[in-house]
Amino acid sequence: MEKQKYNKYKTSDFILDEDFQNWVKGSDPKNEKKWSIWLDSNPALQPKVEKARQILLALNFKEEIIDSKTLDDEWQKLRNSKDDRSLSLQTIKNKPKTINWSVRIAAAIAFIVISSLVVLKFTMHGSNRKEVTMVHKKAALGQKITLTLADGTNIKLNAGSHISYPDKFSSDKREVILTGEAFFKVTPNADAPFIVRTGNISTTVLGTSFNINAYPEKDQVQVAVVEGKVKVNTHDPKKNIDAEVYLTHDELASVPKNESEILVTPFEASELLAWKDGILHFGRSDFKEVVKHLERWYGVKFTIRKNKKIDPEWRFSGKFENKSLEYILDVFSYPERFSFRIDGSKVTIN
Amino acid sequence: MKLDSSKVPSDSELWEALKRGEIKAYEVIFKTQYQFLINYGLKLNSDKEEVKDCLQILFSKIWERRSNLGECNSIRNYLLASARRLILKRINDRSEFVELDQKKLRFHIELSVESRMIQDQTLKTKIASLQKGIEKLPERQKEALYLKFYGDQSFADIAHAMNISTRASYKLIYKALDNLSKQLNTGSKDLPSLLTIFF
Repeated sequence: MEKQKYNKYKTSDFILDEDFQNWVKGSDPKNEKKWSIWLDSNPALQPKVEKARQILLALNFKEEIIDSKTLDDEWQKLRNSKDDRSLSLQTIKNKPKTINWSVRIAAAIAFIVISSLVVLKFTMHGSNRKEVTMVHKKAALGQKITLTLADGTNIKLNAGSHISYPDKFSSDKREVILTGEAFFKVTPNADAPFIVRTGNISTTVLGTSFNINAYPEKDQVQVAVVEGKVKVNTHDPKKNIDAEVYLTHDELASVPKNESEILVTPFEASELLAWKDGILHFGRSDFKEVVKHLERWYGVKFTIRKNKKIDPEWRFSGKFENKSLEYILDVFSYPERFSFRIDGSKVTIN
Repeated sequence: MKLDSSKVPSDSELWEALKRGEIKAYEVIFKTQYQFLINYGLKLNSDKEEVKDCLQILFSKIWERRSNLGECNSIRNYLLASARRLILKRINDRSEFVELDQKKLRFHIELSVESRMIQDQTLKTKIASLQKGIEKLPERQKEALYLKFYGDQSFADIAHAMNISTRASYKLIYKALDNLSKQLNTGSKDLPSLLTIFF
């Protein structure tokens, strides 16, 4: 490490400096001591260094994990596309090489997996160096999936939702991260609270059943309690205001994003929880909500013609069980609000 | 010359094998680059099926034209630049339709809090603030930043992918980092409110 040059560094210079990166990520134990000695003797630079460290650690982007099945499917699709004849000819010709190549592919994939693990380990740098592997589960559009976690907790994930959790929970808490909507039936454990993180909002319980709706496009997060008791606690550091609300079963907390106010109302389980029983429910929804909901439920994509006027005053209500998309759009388009065309997974509104 | 199967091939060896029509080289390239390309593509267009279609088109064209391909020292970078062109072209071609959520062409990136969820509470609040900072960055700064820190691309690679000069790619990244550094100074004023619910 060349100490001289660092005296003139800006925060951004530190972030892009390879030595600095290795130090922050803990991949360079040799230089660890040099850095702390240097920092101690240059206290004026500490704020810059600390900022650089925080930015570097934060620059870790959300990643969509492509599982091996999807990868294989996409590869097969490519092979089966129009040029498949020359592909299969090549396969036969190269057959003796196949084993070697499979080993190589495996090595390449193993390399990717290992490097992701290494990256994951780096990001754990700090107080906790324990290796935690995160499991990611996703319910595709048009699908719902049910999961049972290691502690017996049952989770039903609604279409287009994503959840991640460590492969092993720590002994004092059980944390999961949710995007979208899910119904939880949490196995009681007084020693390890179950925490669901949805953006800035956390829901902590010891053992109960509840539904969380935190789809990204919604302007609020809703927590509906089916069983048990819940304490809602908000803290707004800007105004330094604390607020507390107690919820029991059949109560719904609505928390607008970016606000510390909580609204508690009763809720109608047959509407709010219908999704987990396969019932599609609309209660005075506007057109945008209807489209978003149908896209998720049926795994389709809507396109609206540029010149088509959508009345913002339109409201749609209804309850549908095992009905086709065509049936629902037929009902909703009456009386001549719009016409539509369904073409595989593409829906066009005219 | 056939590929030597006893060692992991370099990019240029793989590429040459692909040009000779070795299907397995094609498969390795597809399977090792797919995850990176789809993640990058989704930042340009959030429609996953469309991005998948684009990658199918891209890879089938590469196979069709394999004998006419030039030299290549970085396969990732070659694919990155081609995927970017194709995805953006198809967005433009389709503009007779209006997307439902009226979003303009954007490069959308989100910081991940997941992998470090257990530790470092200060860092977590900083990330929320930095995420806001990132959203405020011009699209090209976001893209350059993403390629540098997610893709681990060199300044020259980024310049090539984004069709700008290497100097311009330096500038984009330094500006982005300077902006984020400023955001950390002011960020503490608009911390998001935290909410916890206890049983």
